Amino acid sequence: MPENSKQPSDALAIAKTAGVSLNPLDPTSRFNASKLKQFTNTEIVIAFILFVTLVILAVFGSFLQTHDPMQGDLLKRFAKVGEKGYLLGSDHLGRDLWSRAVAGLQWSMACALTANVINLLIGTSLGLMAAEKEGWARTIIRQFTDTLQSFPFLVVAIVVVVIVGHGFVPLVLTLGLGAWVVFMRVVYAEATSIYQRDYVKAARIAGVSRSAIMFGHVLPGVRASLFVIFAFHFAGLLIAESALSFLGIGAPLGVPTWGNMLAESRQYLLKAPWMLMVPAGAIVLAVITMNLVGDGIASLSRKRGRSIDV
Amino acid sequence: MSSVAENAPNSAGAKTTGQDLLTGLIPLLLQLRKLAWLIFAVTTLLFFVLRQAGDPALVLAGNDATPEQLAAIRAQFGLDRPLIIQYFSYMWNVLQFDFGKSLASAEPALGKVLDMVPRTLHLAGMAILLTATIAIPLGSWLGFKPENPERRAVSGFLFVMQGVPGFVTALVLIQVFAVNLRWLPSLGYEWFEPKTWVLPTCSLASFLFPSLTRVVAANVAEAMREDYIRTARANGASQSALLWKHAVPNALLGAAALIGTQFAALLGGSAIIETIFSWPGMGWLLLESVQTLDFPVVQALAFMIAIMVFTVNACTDLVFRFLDPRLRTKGA
Amino acid sequence: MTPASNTDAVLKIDNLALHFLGQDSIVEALKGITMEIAAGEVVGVVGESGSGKSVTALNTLRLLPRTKTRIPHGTVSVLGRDVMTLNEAELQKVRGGDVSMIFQEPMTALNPVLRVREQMFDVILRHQTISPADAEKLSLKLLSDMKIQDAERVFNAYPHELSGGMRQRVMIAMAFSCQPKLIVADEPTTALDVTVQAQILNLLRERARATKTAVMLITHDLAVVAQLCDRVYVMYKGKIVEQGLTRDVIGKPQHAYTRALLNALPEGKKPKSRLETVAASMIEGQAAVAAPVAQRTTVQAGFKLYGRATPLFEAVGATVRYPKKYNLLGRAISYQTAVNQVNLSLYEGQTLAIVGESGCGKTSFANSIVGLVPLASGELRYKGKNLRDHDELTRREVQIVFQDPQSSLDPRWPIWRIMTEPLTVGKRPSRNELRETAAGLCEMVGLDPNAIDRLPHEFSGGQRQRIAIGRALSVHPRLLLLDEPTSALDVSVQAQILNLLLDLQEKYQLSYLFISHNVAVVRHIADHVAVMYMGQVVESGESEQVLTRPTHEYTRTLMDAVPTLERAFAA
Repeated sequence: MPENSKQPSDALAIAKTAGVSLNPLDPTSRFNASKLKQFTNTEIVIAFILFVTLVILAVFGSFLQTHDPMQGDLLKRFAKVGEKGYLLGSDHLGRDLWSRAVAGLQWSMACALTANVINLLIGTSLGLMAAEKEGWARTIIRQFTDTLQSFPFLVVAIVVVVIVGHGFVPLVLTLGLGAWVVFMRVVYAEATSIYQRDYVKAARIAGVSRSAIMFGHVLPGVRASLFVIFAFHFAGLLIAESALSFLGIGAPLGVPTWGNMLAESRQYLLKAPWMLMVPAGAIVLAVITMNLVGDGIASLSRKRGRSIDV
Repeated sequence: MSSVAENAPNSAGAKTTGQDLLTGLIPLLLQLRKLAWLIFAVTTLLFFVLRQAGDPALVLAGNDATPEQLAAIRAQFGLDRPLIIQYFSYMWNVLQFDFGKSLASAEPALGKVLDMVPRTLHLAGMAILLTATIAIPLGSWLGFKPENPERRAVSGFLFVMQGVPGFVTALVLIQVFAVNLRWLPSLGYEWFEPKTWVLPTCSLASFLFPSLTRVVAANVAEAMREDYIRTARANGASQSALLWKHAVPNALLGAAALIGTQFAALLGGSAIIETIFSWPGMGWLLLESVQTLDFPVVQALAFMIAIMVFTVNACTDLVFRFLDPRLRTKGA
Repeated sequence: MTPASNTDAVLKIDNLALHFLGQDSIVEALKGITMEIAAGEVVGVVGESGSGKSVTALNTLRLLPRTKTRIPHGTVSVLGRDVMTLNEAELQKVRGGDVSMIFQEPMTALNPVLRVREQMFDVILRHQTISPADAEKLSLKLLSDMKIQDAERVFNAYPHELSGGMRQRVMIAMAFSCQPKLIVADEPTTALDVTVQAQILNLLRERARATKTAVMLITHDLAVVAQLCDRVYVMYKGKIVEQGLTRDVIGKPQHAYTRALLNALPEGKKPKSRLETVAASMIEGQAAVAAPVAQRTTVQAGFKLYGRATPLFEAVGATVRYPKKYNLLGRAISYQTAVNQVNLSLYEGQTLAIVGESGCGKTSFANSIVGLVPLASGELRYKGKNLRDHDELTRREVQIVFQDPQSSLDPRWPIWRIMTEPLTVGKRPSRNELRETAAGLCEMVGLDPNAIDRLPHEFSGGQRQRIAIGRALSVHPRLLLLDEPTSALDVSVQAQILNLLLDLQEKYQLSYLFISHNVAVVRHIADHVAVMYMGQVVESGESEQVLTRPTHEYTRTLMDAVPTLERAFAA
């Protein structure tokens, strides 16, 4: 039965699509693992509240800062949490950690969001293109993705960011142009399976155009997964951005970002542990929130999917 | 009715002719072609990107060099030739594994990188081992039965751990175990001093094990819904036989891929942890040499990482073929 | 054999009710059933999907998840022991020991990463205290008892290296391995080809007789029951509606449902006659008698048309190949021929059926007609001209209906959009126009026109198949390709769909290319039949001729293998 025979290499590819990686930029493992957990309504509400808080802080953060995040008061250095009018304490230059954490949130969110949108667009278009038809386009896209994926992204990012320079734009472009693999892989895998369904065959036989099939049947079919990946990938990008800044090669020095704050805290671990805890807590909260949102969406779409696909 | 067709030996693996042997090699050759592509792409990209970054002659001669000295150095290293000619001669050298000498220490760049390989392998190996030791039993337990309060608590904990980046864990571990308790050193690497291994390994594993555990759990849960589990139950298999004999081996097929990818990503991706702990491995060297514009070392590192990642992937593939009989007997 | 007396019953189910606990609802799967199986007896349990027959089977060994089921009343006792009171450890001794099971899906029911050897040892060593060497001897004996010639190879093989029929033989060998008193076989041959099914059923019966093992055979196929079983229970919606000796139940059915089920079978009915549907006769209740069969004219009309100069559709030397091996550059170096030099012709208003088992190339042939796979050589002619040379509009006169109503409808689209999708090609009719058309199509295929805003999952399998037919009809086709359109459906639903297809054919003078493995259905609907085997048409002609007086050896084998009520009673 040639129509049923499956190449082992394909089986391997599928297995690999299902499995995944440590790479913070590769949320497919979380995507896969999210199948395990069925969210209760309470958890979805918690995810929603945390997410809204994050968005409000990011958008209206400037009004919520109590101090200028850049301006320190050398007389009020190393204030503990709640001391001397500092909500979360102050750092070695007497700068307000709360205000700096909020500024860091704005920087990280802007950075991750922009890069994520670029990732989404590139990955989805390439995935759809590769899934649509056999031929040279599929071969090239898959080879290219494989190559990009097989090299640790962090290594590429470190080299490129160091060479091209500090700052928002180089950072966003590096993350945006280099980290779309996960979108491509998930879209490719799901779109390929949709292209094999009988309803797509029926549409083809009826003469429905390729673009109408792609935008009418296939894209809506992968939409739910795209939302999930977007949320998980957002978390991954937050981690990547703060890691690069922590190494001193992402955000310019002095700009209040979580990575920079963590790097500064290393000198004062003994004297002012809160300098570590504030940015660390901020990163963890933001990442967990986005993971919760991802799991929540996955859980919701599964609930819907059960009633649809049975 | 003839049962002849039914009883005919399956064609798979029946004969091995020369032709079959050749087609059997195709996957390997395809893999090698991928490696060649990867090395070519990485080397080329780095060559041009690094040239954009700064003038190698300037780095070699130092900032206070006279124009004459610069010209002499350019002539000596062939930097006065057109870029494309330099590129080809460079690629020719790369083909002979010659990346030039480190600008910082004048040692051969590749040699310098090779010194780092065992240390990175050491760290990555320990981290993966720790991860698998925790994740496989924990994941199996988690996925075996439907949720109950204990499983809920554990998966909640995993969920939180998944949100803590490795380098944040590292900093917190240093704060607690090195700075406050003074039990373990905060940095450094000694081959014979296991104390120096603990914190870096734990930092890496802390970020790896939640995702592996959850994937193992999801796979076990999925396997438990399969028909062959029902068959085994109908044949009187005990709970532990169901889990360890039937569900886990199938679930590990998915987990093996993840372990391989995790290991591959660690080879360069542990740069941050290595830097934090001054662990003199490949990632640490990468940051050092990138920041000092030591191009030959960066190039040699990228080359080495590509080869190692390739090897890990090829091994994962082999393990896969070993674990999954469906791939083993079909060959090509 | 007489019905079981209380003393020697291996299985006794008394007034058993079973509920499934859903998220927010309770489903009553069994509503108080009573059943008895005596030692050495072969008993059939027949019913359509949702009748509760599989639940009965699984519950015999308490294999249903306890957290999701509830048993309000009733008992199940195996060899006099009440399994409802046994704990897990005691149950494990019963499972595979006193009672063993055979499942439907041979592809997934064996563990893919363990050899047959390990899986057989697993069962044998758990229930018997013998040495591994003896266990091996026993396994090989069991396998050769199943008429497996190279038992040694099968014993050391992984499941994926074996064909479906071979895997099912392994399953049966495993089931017999610990001298069980009862074997519960849940649709053991449904996923297999007819010729393989015949072998497997014979083996099962033979082994059961030889070892005096009782068999509880769960199936939807009355013909299988007739051939194999001493007694039969007929289940409908969680209840047993009729029971007795097979000959009595099938020969003189008492209950309306049994009668309806028998009437819905195309077998033994006049070709192209209207089949009775279960729903209709169940509404009329106990007193319902088989409704008089409507006289049709199509058969006659068909013959009149036959002999016209040009056929509507013609295949001339059609060949389809798939690449089998690739060289280093990714080019195919060897091919597998799926369809080999097929010549067929189909005349306006007639039905040509292609019969064959899985892998014979019938689906590849269908796919090549609608352009999903290219022809390697040969030609497909429509109205005397190559199908490829026709314009888009004419090509659309050939439409297809797929087998699986699950996958053939986009789960996210309302059905008005699904049914009118072909009409949006090249133009943009207004939403209202499309909805009106869809409502019209709904009436045509017997669906409620007010339901056009619903999603596919709100419909049953048979209704979904109607939607798919409606979609194909939207572009006014002349030729419909029906690729196993009823094989995923229950018998009673199949009857409805066959009726619909015959009605449509009469009304619109449609031509059908009907692809099926089911000989009874083909006999009922087709004017002409082509039998395919290994990519080739081995025999073709008028259906009566081919199906009753086959000349080719394969056709004869096929006809012999098909279980029929008639033959079962003749025996």
